[in-house]
Amino acid sequence: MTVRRTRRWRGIVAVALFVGGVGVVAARPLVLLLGVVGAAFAAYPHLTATPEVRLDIERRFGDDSPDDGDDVVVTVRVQNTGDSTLTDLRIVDGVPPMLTVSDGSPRHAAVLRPGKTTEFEYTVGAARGRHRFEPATVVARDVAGTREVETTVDTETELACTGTVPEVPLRQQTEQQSGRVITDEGGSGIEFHQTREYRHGDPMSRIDWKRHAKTGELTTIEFREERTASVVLLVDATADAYRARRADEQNAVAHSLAGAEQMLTALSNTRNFVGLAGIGREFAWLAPGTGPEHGDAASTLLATSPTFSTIPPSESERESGSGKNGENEEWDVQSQHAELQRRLGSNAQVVLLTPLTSPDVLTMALGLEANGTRVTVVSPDVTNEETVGGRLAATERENRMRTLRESRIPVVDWNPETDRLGTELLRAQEGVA
Amino acid sequence: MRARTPVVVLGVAVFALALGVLLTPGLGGAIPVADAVDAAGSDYKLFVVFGAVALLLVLVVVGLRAVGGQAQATPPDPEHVRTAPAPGAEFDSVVGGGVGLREQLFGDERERVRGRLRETATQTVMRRENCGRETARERVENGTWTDDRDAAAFVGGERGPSPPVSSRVTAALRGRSWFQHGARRAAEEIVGTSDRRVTDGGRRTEDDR
Repeated sequence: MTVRRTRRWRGIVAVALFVGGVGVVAARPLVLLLGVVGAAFAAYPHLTATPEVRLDIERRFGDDSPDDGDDVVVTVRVQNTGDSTLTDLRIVDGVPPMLTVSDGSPRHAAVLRPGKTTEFEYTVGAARGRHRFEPATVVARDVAGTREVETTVDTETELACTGTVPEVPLRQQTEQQSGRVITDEGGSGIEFHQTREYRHGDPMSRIDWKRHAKTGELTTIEFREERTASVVLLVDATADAYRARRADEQNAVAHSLAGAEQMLTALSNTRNFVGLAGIGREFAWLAPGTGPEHGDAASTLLATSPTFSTIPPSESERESGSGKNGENEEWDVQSQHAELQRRLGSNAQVVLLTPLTSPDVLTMALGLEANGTRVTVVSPDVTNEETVGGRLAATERENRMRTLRESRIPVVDWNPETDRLGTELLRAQEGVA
Repeated sequence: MRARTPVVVLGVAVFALALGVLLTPGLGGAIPVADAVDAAGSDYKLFVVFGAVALLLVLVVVGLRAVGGQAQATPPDPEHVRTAPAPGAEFDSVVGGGVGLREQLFGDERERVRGRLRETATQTVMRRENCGRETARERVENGTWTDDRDAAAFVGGERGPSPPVSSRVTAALRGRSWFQHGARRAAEEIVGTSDRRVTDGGRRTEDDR
C-alpha cells in the first residue's frame, strides 16, 4: 500500500499570499481580506484524513467455460467493508496478462459509502489456457484530493478455457505396474506379441491349445505387456521462450502452459503417473503421482509458481537471464537441467513443451535423451515470416527440429493458432512407439 | 510534514497574539508599534515590508509548484496482452539499427550474430545436402554453399571469399554498414537455401511450418 501526497493544492498558497500582498502594498483592506479566502483553501487540505481502504472484490463470468475466441463478460463487484466513506475511489481490474479487453473498460470510479457495493462489467476475448486474474489496482483519494492511497485488492479468480486432448503420445519407458502403455515386452495383456516354447510355470490359459492339438508341441502365447508410464511435463519458460508471433498474441510460454494443462488432464484420466516441471525464472518441480489430490497440487503449481508466469521478463530480468556466461543462478538453464536430471527417476519420461527458440533447450533435450530419459517434444510454433529475422528464426527452429528427430526424439510441430493440440498429438501418436 | 511544523506553530502563535490584542487592549500597548512606525517614517512604509515579503514568497511557491508538479498514481494498462518480442526481433534490430558505438568498439554482439548465422548456415547445409557436420562446416567456411558472394563472405572463414568492394560501396550508399548488409544477405540466403530444400524434397509445405 502506498500513501502519497498529491500536492494538488500547492498553488493556492501563492494565490492567498499574492492577494494579501497586493492588499497590503496597495493599502486596500478589502483586497487584504480577500486573501483570507485563499488562506482558508490552503488550510483545507490539511483538515482531511487519509482514506482507509478496506474492500472486497468479486468477479463473475457470463460464461464459465468459454471456447477459444469467445467473448466473456466479466462482472466485477466491489464492496466497501470499511467504516468510512470512500469519496474518490478508482479501480483498475487486473485483467489476466494474456487476455484482451474487447468491449467496455476494466476501469471504474465510484463514491462508496460503508457497506455499499458498486458494480461494473467489461468483455474479454477468451484464449486457450487457464487465466488467473491479477489483483485489482485501487486508488482512493480523500475528499480534498490531497492524500492518495494506492493499493491492490485480490481474490482468486480464474477463467478457464481449456480444450481437451484425447491422448498423449507416450514413449516406451515405463514403470513396473500394469497400465495402458503397450510395451514391446511379452507377458500378459491384450495385443498379441509372439509365441514361444512352453516353459515350466507358464499359466495354462496362455498355452496355445490348438497348436498342441495339431502338432503336439506345447507353446505359450505372449501378449504385449501393458504398463504405466511416469510422465513429467516439462515447460520451457526460459527468457527466450517468451516470444509471440505478433504483439497482440499470446506468447509461446502461454501456449505451452495451455498445452501442459490439457495433457495433464488427459494423463490424469489414465493410470499413468504424471509430474510437472518448469525451467525459467527458477526450477519448478512436482514429482509424478496420481489421484485427485495430486491433480490439485499440479493445478496450484501451474497457477502460482513464478516459473509458470505468462508475463514476459522485464528488461532487467531479461538482461540477467541472457547473462552470457550463465553466471546468474536464476534463469540458468544448465543448472536447472542438472537439477531436473537429478530428480527424474530412472523410469520417468519427459514431454517437453518448448517453442525451440533457444539452443540451450535443444541441448537439454538431447542431454536428457542421451542420459536414458525418453523425451517427446511438443513445440508451439510462434515464428512469423514477415521479417528477415523472423524467417531466420523459423529456419533455426526447423534445423533444431531436425536435430531432435535425428536423435530419435519425436517432435510435435504445433501451430497454436490454427491447430488444436489434440489433433496434432493424435497425428504424432502414429509415429511414436 | 515535519518541516512544516515550526511554521504552523509560528502561525498559531501569531494568531493567538492577535486575538489577545483584540480582547485585552492592555496587551496591545505593550507592543512598541509607535516606535516602529517612527523608525520607518510612516505606517505605510512599515506595512509595505510585509506585503513585499508576501509577494516574494509567491515567487518561491510558484517556483516550487513548477518544479515539483503533482504526484499521483499511474494505474496499470491491463486492456491488452502483455507483449513479447517476435522470434528473431533481436536480429532485425541489429540489422536494421546496427549496434551502438560502445558495443561496436568493446562488445561482442557482432561476433555473436556472425557466429549464430554461421551455425545456422552449417545446419541448413547439413539439412539440404544431407551431409555430415564437417562437410557442411567446410562448405560454409570456404563459401561454396551459396552463389551469393556477400553472404558467403560474411559467414565464411579466413579461407573464404572476401567481400566484393562493390557491395561495400552499395551498402555505404544505402547508409548501412558492411556488417548490416552482410548479415541481412546471409540471413536471406540461409532462409532461401532452407526453402529450396523444402521444394526439392516436396514433402513439407508452407502450411507445415
